[in-house]
Amino acid sequence: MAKPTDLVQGTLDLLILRTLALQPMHGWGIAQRIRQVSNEVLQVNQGALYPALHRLEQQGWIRAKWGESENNRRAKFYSMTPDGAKYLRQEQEQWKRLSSAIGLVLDMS
Amino acid sequence: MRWYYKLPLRMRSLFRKDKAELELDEELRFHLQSQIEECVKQGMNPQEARHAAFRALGGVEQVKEECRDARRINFVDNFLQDGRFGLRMFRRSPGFAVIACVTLALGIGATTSIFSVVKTVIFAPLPFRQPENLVHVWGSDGPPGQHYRRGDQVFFSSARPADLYDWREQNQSFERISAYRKCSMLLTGGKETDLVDGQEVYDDFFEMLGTPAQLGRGLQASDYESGGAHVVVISNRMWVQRLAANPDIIGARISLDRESYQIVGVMPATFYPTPWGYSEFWIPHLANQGERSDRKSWGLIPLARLKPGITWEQAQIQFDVISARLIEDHPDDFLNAVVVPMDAQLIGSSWKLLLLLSGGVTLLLLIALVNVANLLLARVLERQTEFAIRKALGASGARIAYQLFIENLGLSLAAGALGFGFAFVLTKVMLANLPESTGLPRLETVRVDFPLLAFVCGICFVASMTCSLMTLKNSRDRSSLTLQIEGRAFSSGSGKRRLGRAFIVSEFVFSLVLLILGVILVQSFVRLRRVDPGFDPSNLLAFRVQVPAVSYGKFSFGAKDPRRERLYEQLEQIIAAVPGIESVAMSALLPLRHEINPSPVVIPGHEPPLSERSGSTRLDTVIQIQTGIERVNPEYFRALRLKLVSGRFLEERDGPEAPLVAVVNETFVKAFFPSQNPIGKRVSVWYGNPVIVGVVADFKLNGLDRNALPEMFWSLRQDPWTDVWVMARTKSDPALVASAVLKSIRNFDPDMPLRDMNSMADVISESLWLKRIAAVLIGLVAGLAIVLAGIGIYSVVSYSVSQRTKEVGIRVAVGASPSDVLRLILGETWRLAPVWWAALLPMS
Repeated sequence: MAKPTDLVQGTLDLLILRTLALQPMHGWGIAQRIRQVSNEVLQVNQGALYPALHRLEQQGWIRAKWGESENNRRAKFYSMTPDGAKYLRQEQEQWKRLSSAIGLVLDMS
Repeated sequence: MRWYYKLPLRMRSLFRKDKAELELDEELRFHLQSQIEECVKQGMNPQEARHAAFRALGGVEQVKEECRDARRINFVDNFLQDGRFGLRMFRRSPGFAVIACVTLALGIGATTSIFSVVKTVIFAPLPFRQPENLVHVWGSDGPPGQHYRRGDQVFFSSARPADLYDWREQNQSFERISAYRKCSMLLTGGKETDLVDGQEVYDDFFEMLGTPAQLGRGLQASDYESGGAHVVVISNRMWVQRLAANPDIIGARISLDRESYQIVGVMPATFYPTPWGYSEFWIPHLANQGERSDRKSWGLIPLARLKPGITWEQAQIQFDVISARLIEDHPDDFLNAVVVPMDAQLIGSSWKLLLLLSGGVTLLLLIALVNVANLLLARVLERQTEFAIRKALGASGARIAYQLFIENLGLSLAAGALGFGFAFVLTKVMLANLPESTGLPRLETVRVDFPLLAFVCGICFVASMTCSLMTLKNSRDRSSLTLQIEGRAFSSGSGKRRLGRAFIVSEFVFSLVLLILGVILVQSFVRLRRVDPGFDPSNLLAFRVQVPAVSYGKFSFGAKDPRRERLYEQLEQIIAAVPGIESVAMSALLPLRHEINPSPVVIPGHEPPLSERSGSTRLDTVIQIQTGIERVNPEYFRALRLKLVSGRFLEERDGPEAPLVAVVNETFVKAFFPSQNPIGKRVSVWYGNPVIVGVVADFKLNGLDRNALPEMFWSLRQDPWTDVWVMARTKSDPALVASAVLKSIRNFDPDMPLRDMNSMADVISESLWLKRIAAVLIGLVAGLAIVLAGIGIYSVVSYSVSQRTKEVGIRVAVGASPSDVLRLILGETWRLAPVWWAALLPMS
């Protein structure tokens, strides 16, 4: 990879979008969910999470709305837009192609 | 990306900034609280949990900043912020701001105005239909085979009507051939009588050029029918200046030479079909009977349009063939044709002048840029601490670069606005002060060119930006050091001082080189002013008498003209009778103001000195076989206090009935009679065969900086010219008698136009205007550069000294006296001296 940061950043976007595909969620919830689903393997860098959310919102892939959290506090909930869904599908394809290609290379005997 | 998502978001980010900020706060607060609760659940105490939460998030402010970046609000926000900050910085150091701005504005203004002139004069398309097909056709009574070459002289001999008819009939290269003749006519009926310059044009003239009239029409075939009404086409200048730009002018009448002419058209200001002088009107030339074989009436200048696909070189070749044929029919009064393309003709040698000026202003702009760059560099150096602190507080390199960008943009814009005002004034002043003799066409259509201005401002901006960034990069490498140095180090590192030293050296070298250049130019100008012109220019009142054809008859070359001849004699007596006048010189052309067009010399009995050199039109060889001809009154030599070398001067006895005689100068003798006594020799020049009766010492006729050319003087009594210049020797200041002279001539003939009244001293200083402009321009630039260099050096030195305040303090504390400290600082600067000299040597 020429630019490893792209991978990391792109990966975070992908993870956020995938999480939001299930249901609208606030930033804290997204971080927790990613951690749980990946069996505690993936620790989202919290410092990078919010800028990423704002960027995704700016690009029109997610939308923000204020709502009530589980413990009745005001929280900002993000949900996926149709454009975001389309982008997620594209990126998932891309990711699968890439990871299987890397798998092939790594399994080479 | 859908705009309907983007737009409200952007709008909100921009206009509801406070709200967005609050929401960002709240969002992060929610996150932190959730994290804290989570940690508490895991068994931490609340204090620990708080720390852990903040650690997990990283810096809250950094996250916020990144979110703002992500929203792009920073873009606009930074812009405003940096703008405000920049303004504050400029207000804090107004000296820097004003100097940088004015320097840039000077460069921008000068460059824009000169290049506006260049663009109009040289690069604007000529205002004719397919101008590339237009040519001038000159005569050449020189050696056969004389051709025009690119970059060479563009003026040759005029032609005669018979030549025009011959060429029209025989040369197949042309679609149309027409011609014009200069004519000055007395314009009466307005506020005051004035002699205006115009052109009498042959048929097809306007059709050939194909420039549409601004109002009405050009001349057409029906205007040339004999017995038709008198019609005239006027220039934009006449329309605006003399006729108040009246839009209903078509059909009105003006009186030229006391005859009524109907105005049928107004030509646009750009219409400038001929290379010398500005024509105010065009009247049709009505062909007369004898014209077909008229080989006497010189002064006709043919213009032609080439057939499509034929080059001017091909037309020239065909002319050479025709000439070979014609020379057999008219061996005595035969004329070659020389084809000169229109663009070369109109632009002529003016590009040399413009090149000089362009070079000058480009240099000025460069210097301004380098100076501003140096100022900026020094400033960025001064601000290194500021940048280092900002960086430590989390500003990215790009953010600082962006701030510099805004500052430089502001600087360039301010300089551009000021530069525009400067360019405007400079263009006005320049156009008002350029002497007529520059021969630059289309000057009056010159306007300050906005795209050009924008381009020059753009260059300034890019240059200042590049320089800021370079320094920034330079300082970034050391930015971590900077803070340490501020805090702890006692003496600034040697690496940093090296950059400062480089500035000092470059500033010095650069401004010294400029100063040397300026001094050389000013010196050569001063030296030129001291050149002895060979005649006595003090107390000489010079002015020009234009002789109206309507009162004294049409002029023709070489013909007997008793009316003019008497007129000049009368004028001489009238002027000489004015109290305060000692003696009166008259000549066809004014020394040091006019180039004298040379004519080839044929010496009977000599091997024709020309044949071996034929085919060459290069100026240097042509000069050796040509001589200028001046028509002067007999008093001329005494009034100008010229020295007689041998023989005699012209005298009154060389009257119209006496044989034609000539006085020649020493250079003429050297060129044509190197080992003989020229007195009594007969030579043949143009239409005359004079006998040489005297030799006069060389004096400056063509320019103070030029060597004397061969010259020959004929008597105005024997060969009266179309009009004359008077140089009256006065007993005291010429300005005192000017009005008396004017009045006595007005008494004699109220309609006699007198022009360009001036003292000869002023004429001489005007002849040096080009040198003066160069000297003044470069002198100014050098002066400015010295001032700027001083400021730049001061700022660099004071910076480096301020860097060493602590070091100095310690030295003083351990016992150094103030003079020791001074020695330390000066020694540092002086050690650079050998470097300046080393750098200067190759440059000078």
